[in-house]
Amino acid sequence: MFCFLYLQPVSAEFLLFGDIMAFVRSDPKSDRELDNNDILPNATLFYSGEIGKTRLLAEYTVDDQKTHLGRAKLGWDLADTHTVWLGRLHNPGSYWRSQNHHGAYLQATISRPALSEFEASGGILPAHMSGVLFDGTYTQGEGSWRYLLGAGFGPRLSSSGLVAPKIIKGSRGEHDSSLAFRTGWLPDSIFTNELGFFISRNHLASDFGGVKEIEQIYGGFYINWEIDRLSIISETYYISNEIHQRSSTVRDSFSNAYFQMGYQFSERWRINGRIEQSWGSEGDAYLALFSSFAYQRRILALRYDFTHQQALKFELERAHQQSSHSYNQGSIQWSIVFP
Amino acid sequence: MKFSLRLCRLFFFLFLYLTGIQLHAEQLLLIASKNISITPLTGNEIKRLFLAAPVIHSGIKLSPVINRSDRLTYQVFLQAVMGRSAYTYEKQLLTRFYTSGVAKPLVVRSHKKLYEMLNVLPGAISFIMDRDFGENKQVQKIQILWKGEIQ
Repeated sequence: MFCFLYLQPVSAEFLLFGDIMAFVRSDPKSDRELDNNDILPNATLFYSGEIGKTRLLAEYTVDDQKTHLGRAKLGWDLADTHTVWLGRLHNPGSYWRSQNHHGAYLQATISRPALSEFEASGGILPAHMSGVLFDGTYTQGEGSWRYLLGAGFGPRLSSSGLVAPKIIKGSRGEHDSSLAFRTGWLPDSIFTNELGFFISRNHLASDFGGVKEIEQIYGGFYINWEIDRLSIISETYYISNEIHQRSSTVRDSFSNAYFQMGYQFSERWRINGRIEQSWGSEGDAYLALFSSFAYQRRILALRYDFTHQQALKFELERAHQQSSHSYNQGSIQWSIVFP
Repeated sequence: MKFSLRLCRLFFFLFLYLTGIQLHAEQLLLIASKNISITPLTGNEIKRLFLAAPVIHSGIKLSPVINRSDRLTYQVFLQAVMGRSAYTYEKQLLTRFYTSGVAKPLVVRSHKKLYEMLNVLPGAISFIMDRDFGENKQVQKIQILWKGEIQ
């Protein structure tokens, strides 16, 4: 696929996203209050090239511990508003992820909502798939409908959580498949205001915790709205899992929602607050496999854009994890996009 | 009442005269190559076009060209046509490019390059201040995007 890079495309462009995040964490409930702190660098190289009606889009992420191919997809424009993509894709069943991907600079906050995290960062829902994605837009007056339908191989569950699929793999089981659909209405296609819903069905093969396979269905609603200086972004999920263990099958479900509100004081300063809450998460058989999942979070973040390509973000967070562990965290992040 | 309005107007012009501030009537024009036959675009089509969304008008797929040959032209375009600050506009283009691979509009930084691109790039559309338009036999005015006074 990367031979495309050498074919002298009609138009080709690179973007480099970089960020350094430092945090300090404390656990006030613990008898021995242990501070946990770290500095986490991250860089993402993004390439987009075009030859006629064919497009290549690739994204490669590097941090201090691992490298990871975010997206690598080849697209054919069927019409100006419809594209079929083939390759490694982001599962369209998350609005936040589809708006920001790996670009920390684009996010108003440092952290992502727990359900929009990528697998490598402890995400509990399939974020990547290797397969095909149909991406279309239907314009109606000044508004438009956007719809995405994706199908392919999804992640597996292992002792380190969900593991994203490789683009090419020799032998595949029949259980690690993903199917996802998302559609949204943009009342004015020149603004980012959008509301819609999504649904995804996943078969997750597993070799962890006595689980052989998980059949997962989730769906929900999202809204992204701006009114003058005020912005709102929110997603609500309902997640149902059928967990096949060696000798039994367990069915369980829970809900999760986040609501983030932001206010742009000036072109450079912006404040955001986010609430994340789960319902039915206590004792959930699926969440029991993800002890670090934050079922409840409260976040307050400040963003300062000191140039058109660089931002400083400050964030305070209070989180409660599935393992009954709670913590307070303070973070600072410098992020850049080049050019 | 009429007298006080006239008096206010008189003081306003007297103030401009004494302080040396001059107002110039200006126009921002939407332009294209004379080789294409095109009718005026709607406000929504113009905004969508310069946000890199596909726009087909008069049977032609249009290609936006951003004229950044001088700061004033770009600022008038952003404020009067797009209704956005440079930061908001450029970030919106960046997001579209990063999420969907939609190529950002071509940017030119001289009038010579602007006229060249309008004649080379199929369906190319751009904007220019009327005072900079001059006599160009290869480029046509499609419509006036903005009319006003610049201090």
